[in-house]
Amino acid sequence: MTATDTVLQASNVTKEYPSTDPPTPGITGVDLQVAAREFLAVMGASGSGKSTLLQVISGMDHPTGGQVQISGHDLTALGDDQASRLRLTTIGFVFQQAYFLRNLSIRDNILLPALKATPRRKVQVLARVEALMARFGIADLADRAITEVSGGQLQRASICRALVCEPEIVFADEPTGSLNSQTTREVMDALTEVHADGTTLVLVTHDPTCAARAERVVYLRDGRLDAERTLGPWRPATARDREGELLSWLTGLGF
Amino acid sequence: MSNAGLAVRYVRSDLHTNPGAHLALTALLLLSAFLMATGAMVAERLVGSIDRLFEIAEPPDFLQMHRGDLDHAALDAFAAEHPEIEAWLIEEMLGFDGAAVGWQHAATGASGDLADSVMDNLFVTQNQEFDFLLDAEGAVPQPAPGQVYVPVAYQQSYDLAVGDRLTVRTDTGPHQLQVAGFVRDAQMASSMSSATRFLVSEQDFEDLEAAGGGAPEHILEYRLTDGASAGDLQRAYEADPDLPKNGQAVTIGMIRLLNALGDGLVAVALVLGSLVLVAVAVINLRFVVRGTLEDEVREIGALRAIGISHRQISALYLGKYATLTLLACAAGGALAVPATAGLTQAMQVNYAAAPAGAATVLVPVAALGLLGTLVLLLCRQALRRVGKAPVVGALVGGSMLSERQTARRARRGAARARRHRLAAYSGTRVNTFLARLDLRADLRQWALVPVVFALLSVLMILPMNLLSTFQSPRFGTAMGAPEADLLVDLQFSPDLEDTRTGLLADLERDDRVTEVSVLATELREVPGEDGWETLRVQVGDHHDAAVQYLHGRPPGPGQVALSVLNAQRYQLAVGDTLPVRPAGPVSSTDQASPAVVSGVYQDLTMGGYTAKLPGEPNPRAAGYAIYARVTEATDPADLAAEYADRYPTASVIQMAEYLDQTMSFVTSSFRVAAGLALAFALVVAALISALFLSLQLKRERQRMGVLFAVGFSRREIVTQMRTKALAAVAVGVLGGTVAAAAGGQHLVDGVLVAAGLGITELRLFPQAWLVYGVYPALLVGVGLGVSVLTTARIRSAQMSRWLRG
Repeated sequence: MTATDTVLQASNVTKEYPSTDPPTPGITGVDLQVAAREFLAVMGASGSGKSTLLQVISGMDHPTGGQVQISGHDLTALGDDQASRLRLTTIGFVFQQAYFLRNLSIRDNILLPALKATPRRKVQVLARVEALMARFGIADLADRAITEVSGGQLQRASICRALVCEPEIVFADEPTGSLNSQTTREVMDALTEVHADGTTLVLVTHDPTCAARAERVVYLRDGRLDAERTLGPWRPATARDREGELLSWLTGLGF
Repeated sequence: MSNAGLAVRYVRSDLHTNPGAHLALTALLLLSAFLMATGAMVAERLVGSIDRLFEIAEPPDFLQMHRGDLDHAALDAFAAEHPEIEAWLIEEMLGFDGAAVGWQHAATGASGDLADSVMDNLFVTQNQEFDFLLDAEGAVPQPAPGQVYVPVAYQQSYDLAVGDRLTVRTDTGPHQLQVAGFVRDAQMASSMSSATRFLVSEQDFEDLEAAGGGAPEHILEYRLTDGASAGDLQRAYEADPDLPKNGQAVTIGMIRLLNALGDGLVAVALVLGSLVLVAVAVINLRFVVRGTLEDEVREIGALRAIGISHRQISALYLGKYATLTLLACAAGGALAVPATAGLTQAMQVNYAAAPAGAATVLVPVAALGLLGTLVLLLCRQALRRVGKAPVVGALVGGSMLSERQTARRARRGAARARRHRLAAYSGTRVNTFLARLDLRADLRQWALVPVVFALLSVLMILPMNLLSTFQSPRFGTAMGAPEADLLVDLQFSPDLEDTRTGLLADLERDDRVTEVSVLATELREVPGEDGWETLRVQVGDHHDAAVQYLHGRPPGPGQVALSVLNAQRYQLAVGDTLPVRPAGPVSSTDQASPAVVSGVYQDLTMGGYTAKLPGEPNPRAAGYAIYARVTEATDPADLAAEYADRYPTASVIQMAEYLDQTMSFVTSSFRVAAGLALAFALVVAALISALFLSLQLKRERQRMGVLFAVGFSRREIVTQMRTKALAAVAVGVLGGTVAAAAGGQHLVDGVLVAAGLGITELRLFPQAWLVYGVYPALLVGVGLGVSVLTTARIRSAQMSRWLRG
């Protein structure tokens, strides 16, 4: 993997929570590289530091030590404005809970980052929003409030919002954590599509079925990177085999 | 663990985890408690001090001033006819102009006179029956020959001490006296009273009388078995044509009112101010309680899930707020004690130090109890939601709302989302759009800020407007005093007529004087309820005087203008007719000539009961007021000093100084009130902004987390919050300022009518740049400053955590 292919580069990243005495370690000395157009899954038991890692490498949080680079930008050295610009144009997020602004409709929530990024290209931006909603099957919900749609529909709206600025990398933190199996499948299909379009995807999950969609899986134990396994490109036909392979690997790790 | 133990632990840990909001709330409650207790204590002390002074000094229930001869037989007959008269006496007085009374400090040798005081200086001997003048200890002093007891008001203004010299200039040379002490005067204690009494021995009184230069005057004083019937006695007295009544008549009610008014205004202002603060505290408390409940909804759900009843949970919260309220009331009450001592110091010197009684403690405690009860009732009402909250909803959804409420809120949110569409927004400022949308959506929460700031604006502006009004030169003309630069008051002079003629001739010759007008104070009689009554009138040409009339205009021939109180007393309006006849025993109904009421004006001078008649001043008038205007190049103060030197028996004073002294009782009260209101309003504005914004920040954590995640910078999120705060503050300040400007006039008029002071309309003369410029800017500045400080924490917030709410 060459440097230009790398979208995300985390070096010796540490995160501690100083509010406790002694400070609680979140993650310790993590080195991670994600290549352009790669689909990486981060797994681990509850409390292993998966979400903390994602928050730190995505710029939502500052690491206590180490360095994080996204698309060549050192997140730890960026100012407020530059960091927000990076989150706006280069990074997309999908969270476990679909966090939206409750005073905006589904369409407006998706539109918001795009309009902020290019306020003078509203017509084009709106067309993209409509296209995304149509693609992920929520076009008819555009004018609904976020309280008027189901969890699965909200999560698909989250994906639309994450993609609206055409980011280089999307971070998904347990996006199916609160969904049923049918909806989980739909959301994962959508994310797989996102990746197939060429977007780099980092998925934090505890669900092996979801992780099996990734090309590479890293395993986190007590805040440290413990193991890594490459699964190769996803093909629906081999889904069952990948899941079995992943599960036996995880069992071997004590998952 | 027992319930009580659980409660104590809960309160302690809660106060520890959320100190800022609780500190601000406690401070707010403390300020409310402090003002409420101080207002109550000052009022109680004032009433107590006056009561105490009245108790020892035994002032008359009815008194009539008179200059000239007395018909002793008629007075005896009147007293014999009225069994309700318990005792009566005639007090002999000698009035000296302030310029004739000099002082010299024994310690420093500094000297001066009382010329710059507008008070009538009356020398008297101690009464033996009642109406005593009291010394600092509340005893009845009997001065030895050569000694004088000086009014406490002069002790303060001229810094006099025991041992200082007082020189009275008489027609036959100076009369030396030594200050032996200071006296308090129940009858003339009020800062509104226009006369004051000096106490001398019988011998000195006789010497002063014989020496000449003083104007003899009498006060006929009556003490009744039932003080409440003073009004009846006054009517009976005035209906008797043989009784002397060449002066003002005063009843005990009026004395009390005058006493309470000047100093009572501070207490009233404090109580009114505290009510505004209590309103602010109550609005805030509601917000805080609801905010805390929303904040701790999961904990409440957990407590209920493990089987703790909602009553017990409510009791925990109620216990916390009860503790805070109790602390605030205790501290506020404790702080009120020294504050009251400071505020009532002057009051206690003028009146008498009231002994502390049950009321001294009970009144403030009752006020604080009222505040505490109000606060706790409000908490209880807000805590009812705890009982209604579904356990699962609280635990899982983090919501206190029932399913129905959730559905209703969702419907409202949906309607709003469809109404305000970002897609339809034509502007390019997404941040502004979001801030506006939030303000609209959370209007019920944000409304607190404008409401509180509007109240605070009114609280700041109104006392200041009243103060600047009382200090305004234009105010005088609206209150019965003609517009002039110089006022010459001629009274008490044995050669009154000569002085008047000489002075007028001098003034008219003087190049520096542009206009001169003379008004004579004369007595007339008009028909009252029980026969003819004495009416004090000012006779002269009133057309030049520029007095502002409420209704109608100045009187022409055959007309009379009445002060508001007289118009009310005789139930007359412009166009009505009032028969007027000269005063004195020789007059009869035949001599009465009808005068048409030409106008009604407001008057604060002479107790408010005055009238104006046209015509030439009568040479036998009781006194004269000469008004003069000077050229622009002339300093009226210098001219006043020059004429005062030339005419020692006349009181020549700059008009501005006269108004200043006349209104000093109100201006000093309102200076205190305006200062306190300003300080409190700013402190409360800061507290409320801090309290509200810190809670609102908590409420909006998730929203800010979302914005951060989708690419908004911390700076933009901070700006959005500050924009909302600034908009809310500005709307409140603007609303309050407009309300104070537009409605303040009506409010003040309403209060004045209710007070019955002879003023029914008080045109406010605000210092516009101050109250409509600096004050609002100060409030907005405080709001903005606090929002800058409060939102600073966004810059270092852990947004991933805020995202989770």
